[in-house]
Amino acid sequence: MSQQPVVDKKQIGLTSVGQAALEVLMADGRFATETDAYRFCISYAIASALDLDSAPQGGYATKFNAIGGVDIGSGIRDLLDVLGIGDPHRPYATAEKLAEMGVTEVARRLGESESLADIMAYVSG
Amino acid sequence: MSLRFENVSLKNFGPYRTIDSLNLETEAEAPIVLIHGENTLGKTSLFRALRWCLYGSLLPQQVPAHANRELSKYLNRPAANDGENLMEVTIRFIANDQPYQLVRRANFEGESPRVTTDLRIGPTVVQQASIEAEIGRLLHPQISEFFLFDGELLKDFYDRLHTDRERDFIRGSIDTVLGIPALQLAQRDVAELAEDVVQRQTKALRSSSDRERFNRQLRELKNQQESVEKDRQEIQEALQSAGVQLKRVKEDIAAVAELQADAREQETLESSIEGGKHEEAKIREDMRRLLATGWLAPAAGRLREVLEKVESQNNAAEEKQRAIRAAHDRVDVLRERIQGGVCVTCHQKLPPPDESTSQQLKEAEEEVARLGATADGGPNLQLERRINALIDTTTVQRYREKQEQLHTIVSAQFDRNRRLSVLKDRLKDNDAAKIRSLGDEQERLDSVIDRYEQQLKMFKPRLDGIATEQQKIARQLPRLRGAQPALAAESAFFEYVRILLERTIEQYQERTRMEVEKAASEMFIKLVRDSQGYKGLRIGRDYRVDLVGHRGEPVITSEGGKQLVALSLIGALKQAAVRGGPVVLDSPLARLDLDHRANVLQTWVPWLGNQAILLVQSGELTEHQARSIMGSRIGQEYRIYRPNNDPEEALIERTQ
Repeated sequence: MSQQPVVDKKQIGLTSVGQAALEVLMADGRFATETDAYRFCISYAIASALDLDSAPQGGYATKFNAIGGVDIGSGIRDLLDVLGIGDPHRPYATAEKLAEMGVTEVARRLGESESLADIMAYVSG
Repeated sequence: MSLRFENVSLKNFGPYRTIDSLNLETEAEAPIVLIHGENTLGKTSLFRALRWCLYGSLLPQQVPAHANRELSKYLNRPAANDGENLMEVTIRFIANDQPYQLVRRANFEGESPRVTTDLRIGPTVVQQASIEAEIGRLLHPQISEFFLFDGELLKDFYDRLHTDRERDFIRGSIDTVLGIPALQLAQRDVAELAEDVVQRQTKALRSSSDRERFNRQLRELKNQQESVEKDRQEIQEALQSAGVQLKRVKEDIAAVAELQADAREQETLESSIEGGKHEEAKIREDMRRLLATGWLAPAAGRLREVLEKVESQNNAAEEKQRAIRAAHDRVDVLRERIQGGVCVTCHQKLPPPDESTSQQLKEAEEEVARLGATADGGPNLQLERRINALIDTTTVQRYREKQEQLHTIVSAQFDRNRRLSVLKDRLKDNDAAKIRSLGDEQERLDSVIDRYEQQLKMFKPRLDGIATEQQKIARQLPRLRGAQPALAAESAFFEYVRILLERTIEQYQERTRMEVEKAASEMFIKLVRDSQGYKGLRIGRDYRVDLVGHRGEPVITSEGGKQLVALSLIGALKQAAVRGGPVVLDSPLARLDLDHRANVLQTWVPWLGNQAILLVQSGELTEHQARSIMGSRIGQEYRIYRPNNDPEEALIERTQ
């Protein structure tokens, strides 16, 4: 029996909860685009060592093209690869979950009056 | 004349409920008193308190009766709310080595304020009727603008210098101080005496036809003179009436002057807010760009941890490879030794093998086999490079710096907007149309007054012509039969006195004009940065002021240059009029550019006299700048502040 080839996601996005959180991030013009905010939150989720298993397993609405949009410079794939996070054959599926958790967490911290500068300084070590 | 303020006390004046004996004493080496205060705190109130105490007026060229109508606005409001109705300003000063104490009080018990003044020279109480004259003798009110100087004057002083009225005012002020009006009155009295002699001489003539002829001529001249005088009188009355109206309008304008200051502050604030918005937008844009390019920054810590691990693994792999290479080298050397060969590295002949050599070779080969079995492909340098490329070491710090800049600007913008809202509230009941209509009325009256003044000037040649005819008759009469030698001698004497007075006035005026011109020129050359291009200031007999180049040609100057011309002239006029007395300057630097402020403080202010009291706001001079520019020349330094953030209440404290 031949093994089914592993297929990664081409379109990634957020759940409705994640989308609401992204809107919090976009308020006050903190980020130029939603793509910038999305990427930032992937990085944040990795830095905070958020548990991938805690991310919603479904309910994601697509927002971005992965290779040709969010990860046009392939920085996300590289980051996950060198850090060995998630399924190495499905980096964008991992990135989507990380983004969902990152967006939610950053929005929560902003809601507690932390600034992005504080949040970055805290997680970047 | 030497005059120096010692201290001032205020009770219920403007925002000052009680300022008890604010020390203004200075010494020759430290002649400057600095009083810092932000806009609207009470600098101008203090400035007006000094003027009111000295002259009973609140504004330059204002008569006390008009000032009294506005006094209630100056009664401290919390004091009035507490039922107090006395406002009082006391100045103690030394003049000609004698201690003076001048107190002016306004009592608001009745409908209109009752103002009283008390002047003591040492223990002697000066009679009420003599107080104004005594103050006028020391610091004449007409020259008050030259030593109680409002920096706002600088705004259009240069342009005003090119108007007849301002020139007449300056010449009139100087003439007053020099006592010229008294000499002119004497001149007129002498002319009347001379006319009386001519009439008596005419009566004494023997020939009735001569008598009739000269009487007729004298009558005609007298009629002409009376007619001209009557016309002049009418125009003078109209001029006075227009002058009174103009003063009222100016007082109304002065009443909104504080609002104008508010309006100017509003303009400045709006401009700062606009600038702040751009700055804020730029910082936010920079921050967004940092997040776009530096999105990996949060992961830097995690990447560094992994990098450390990879580096450690790579180091171990390199160490193992070195050990394998060393084991291989040992096997090679031992084999060569058994075969009688040379060392593979130094090419020296190896010693012959002994009993243990074969055993050593066997152990070395086992070591190579053991190390080879655990080797796992060497260090992964490419992974190390990839991780390094992902580590962002700058964004977090740069973003924090931008965030701090943003906080600063947002906080400043908040303060500005709050202040702007206060100003807008204050200005909302005073619409621009009202201020504009006052300005229009002032313009109309100015033009009417100019026309009257021109008309008045035209009377002088007509009256001079009549006087010349009268003098001609006076000279003819002694030659006729019946003329009396005693009357002729009397007439000649009056003619001599008249000419003497005329020349004295001319010489006196000319000498003062030259003094002012010399002093103003010297000061301008000291103040201006590129003094090589100028010879100085030329002041005409009519007090027209021109800036001249080296060949005496008029030179056009910049706005900054105009202000320096104005400062130089005011300083020179102050010196001519008040000599060694004090000078009080309200916001003198506000209209100057930054470069000239230090120069003006170091050169112009000390030159003005033995005591300079400067009321400044931080926009023109901060406390730090003041100390670094003037250092030990500051005799006293104060700041005005609001103890309870209440605009109706201000105090003055020492800064150091």
